[in-house]
Amino acid sequence: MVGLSGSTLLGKFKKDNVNNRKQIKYREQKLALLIVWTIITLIITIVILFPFFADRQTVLKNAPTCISKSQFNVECSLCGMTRAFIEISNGSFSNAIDLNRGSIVIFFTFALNFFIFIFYLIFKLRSTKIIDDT
Amino acid sequence: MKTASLIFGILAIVGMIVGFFPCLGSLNWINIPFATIGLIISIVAMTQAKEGEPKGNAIAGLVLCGVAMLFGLIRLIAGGGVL
Repeated sequence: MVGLSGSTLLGKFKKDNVNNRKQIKYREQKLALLIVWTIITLIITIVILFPFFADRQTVLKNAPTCISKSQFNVECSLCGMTRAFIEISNGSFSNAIDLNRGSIVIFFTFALNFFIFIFYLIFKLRSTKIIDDT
Repeated sequence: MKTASLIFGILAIVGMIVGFFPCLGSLNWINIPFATIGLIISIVAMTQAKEGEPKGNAIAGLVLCGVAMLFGLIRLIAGGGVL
């Protein structure tokens, strides 16, 4: 407090006040986005973890058949994605690329989203003191 | 209620975008009823809001659900209800 002039203090107060108002104003929107992100991440996590825990036949039986392939016998850009995800879960990335070129990128984007979400949650919980640092 | 309508709106828009991918148009059969539920929630949130209370989130939810329904329907018709 010592050493700050009146105008500087007033400016600082105004700036803090504006920031607080902005935080309050967008709190509901941030909460909505966080809930949406959580739902999407949960769905994505189930999608990428399912081939790791279920056997190949179960995954292929539960995955829907592509309409483009079944009706017109033409492969679409997403064809082979389920089989590619199974290959990734088995560790054979070259087979996954052969089945669908975009599978590796999509798989690691999903995985990256999951880790960012986990780190965000840990950071958020620590900043709200729910997780004790000691 | 207002936040719920916004959540429904954002999820409906995300569903609509995914439904625009080739061969995933049938997702709109799920997304349009979902957006309709969001629309109803938004209308209820708007009507329940008291005088002077901000309705921004409810309006945003209403608009997002409406857009998702409209474009989802167009996509569904364009894909013949299947593709």
